[in-house]
Amino acid sequence: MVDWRLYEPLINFARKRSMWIVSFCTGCGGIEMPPLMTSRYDLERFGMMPNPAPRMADLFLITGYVTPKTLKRIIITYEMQPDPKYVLAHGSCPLNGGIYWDAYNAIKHLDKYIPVDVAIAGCMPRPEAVMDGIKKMMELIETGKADGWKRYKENYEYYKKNQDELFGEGWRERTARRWIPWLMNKRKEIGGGEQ
Amino acid sequence: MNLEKEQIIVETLLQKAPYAEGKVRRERRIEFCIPPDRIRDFLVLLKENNFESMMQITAVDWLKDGEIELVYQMWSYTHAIHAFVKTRIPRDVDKARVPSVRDIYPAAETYERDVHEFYKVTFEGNDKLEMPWILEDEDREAGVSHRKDFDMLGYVKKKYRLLDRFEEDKENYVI
Amino acid sequence: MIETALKAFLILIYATFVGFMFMGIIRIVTARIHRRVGPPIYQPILDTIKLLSKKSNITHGLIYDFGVIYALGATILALMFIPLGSMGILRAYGDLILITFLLEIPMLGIMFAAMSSGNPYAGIGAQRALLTLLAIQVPLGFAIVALAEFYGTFSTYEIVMAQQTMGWSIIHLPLLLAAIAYDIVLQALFGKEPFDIMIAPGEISLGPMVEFGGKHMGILQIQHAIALFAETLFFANIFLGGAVVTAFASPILNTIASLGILLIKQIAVLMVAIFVGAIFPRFTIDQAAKFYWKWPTIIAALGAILASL
Repeated sequence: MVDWRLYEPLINFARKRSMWIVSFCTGCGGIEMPPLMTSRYDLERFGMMPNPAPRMADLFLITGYVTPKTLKRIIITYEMQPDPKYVLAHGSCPLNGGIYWDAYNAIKHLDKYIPVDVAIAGCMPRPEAVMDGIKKMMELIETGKADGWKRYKENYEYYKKNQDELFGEGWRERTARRWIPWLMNKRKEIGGGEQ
Repeated sequence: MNLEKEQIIVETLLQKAPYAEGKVRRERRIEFCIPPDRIRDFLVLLKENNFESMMQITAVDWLKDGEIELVYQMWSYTHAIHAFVKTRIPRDVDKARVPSVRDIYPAAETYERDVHEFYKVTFEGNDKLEMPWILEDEDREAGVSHRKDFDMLGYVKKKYRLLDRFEEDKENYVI
Repeated sequence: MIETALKAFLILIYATFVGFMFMGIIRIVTARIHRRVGPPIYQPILDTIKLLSKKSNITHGLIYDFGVIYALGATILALMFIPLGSMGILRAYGDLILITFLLEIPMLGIMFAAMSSGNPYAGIGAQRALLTLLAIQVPLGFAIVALAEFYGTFSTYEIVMAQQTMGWSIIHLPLLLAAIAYDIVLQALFGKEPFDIMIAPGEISLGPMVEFGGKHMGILQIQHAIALFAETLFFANIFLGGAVVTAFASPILNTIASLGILLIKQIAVLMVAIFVGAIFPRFTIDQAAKFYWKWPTIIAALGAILASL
């Protein structure tokens, strides 16, 4: 049959020129996204579009600090995306904690929980710095070295051990069930009041 | 600087509430101190005097006095005046109880949840105090609070296992 | 036999390529209206190659896979019925009602696949898309009836031939009214503002397409390209006088000339849709339904009454 590895240059060219971003703007860097998308530093000429559905997106921009509450949702969204997927970390908070180095609520070293491909330093980096980081990401895709998704699959025990140490075992079920008693009680209250 | 309007409001309120002490701090800011069992009457009085909205409930932990000070911050749109209402309650967890004001000002429900979660002050009459707010379950079990006798930096080092080389030295931070 | 299959294959390749160019034209013209630079014109082809090369990691059963292929098949079949200059495989059988029906089936196919995935956003999006489909039937029906009354026949090929002698359809007043109503319906069929409540990016996370991953989304992009081509071609044929050129001696030059004239007319229709879509915000579903059952219905009904006089 057809050997798809012969078409790797064409497929890598298509992958680097049409990355779709998951519109999940974490932390304070979410304010840096609109200047990139609008007229002055236009990101759409590289083919990057914000896309609300995680099932169709490849690039995940983690802009700014990450709290444990957000990290649970990021892990769930990251695992919903189909391969190959890339993660770009903006700012100094995902690198080593940034200005929240002594806070009880900010993750210090993001690479232990999610594989990060390119990290951009700055406390919020300027749009020109972000474009530099995107250019580096495109080079990594073109040479085939952007393998964060492969690292996640191969070293899944390492990532899972770190996540479980932070959140406790079985955190997915507990997070999904946390709000249910409050919603159920409220419905009983409203039903009781109307009768 | 003309502080007449603030003076008039302070005197009107002090006439109707003899248990309170009040003064004008500066332009557009007035301050009252009241005993903790008269909070509800005083806030009803404020609401009748055109203080429409409650902006925040702040808690201050006085470790040496053994008390927690609650500051209710009220804003009046008609007078454009910011009023502090301060009370002091004892600090132990089972004695820090205050009646809730959420039927007078509905926004107080969220602020009371905030103060309860971080300073362990119980507001009687508010049944949503245990609703999930900012801290996750594992933090709540470990007893995280913003009180001054909780070792926050030690907890952070234990949780993230990364800060062993950071020391909170008052003279020089070593990062 | 072989010649028919070869012609069908060539029409399909041409339609897919030009459809992708149309999608690129939509994106770059919208970007230029926003005073940005915009992606290159061949961008949708890169998007589709990227989507088709993703490894899929979910499955939701048989209908989830089948609905997408069902949509693509219906669009390809609709393409074969529309006369394309002097080519056209099944053009003797293509009447107005059949082509309109076949152009609405893809939405149904996407709804099957979306609702079988169990995502609540997909359910809401599918409901809204079906309501939009219901809303556009009335002005569409009146426009088709106006055409049939005026020309006395339902067959698309005969309407194209009649326009070569009588001039373009929109010269006559009743058909001008029908064309205006049909153009407003075309906005909803393309999925552009102000009637893109079924796609609605950001509001319900792309509606029905929220669960579609790599390969399914790639097939849906191809379907969107062919559907753009087929709908603009249909409009250009019945209202703007499709091209049948007999000036040159050799048939190949005739075909190329008629394809060129059709392309210009199609791009004109597309430009009107882009300009309207770049300006307006989005209607909610009850506003859209009320709008469709008021003014376009009145205009199309007036056209139908005048056509039969």
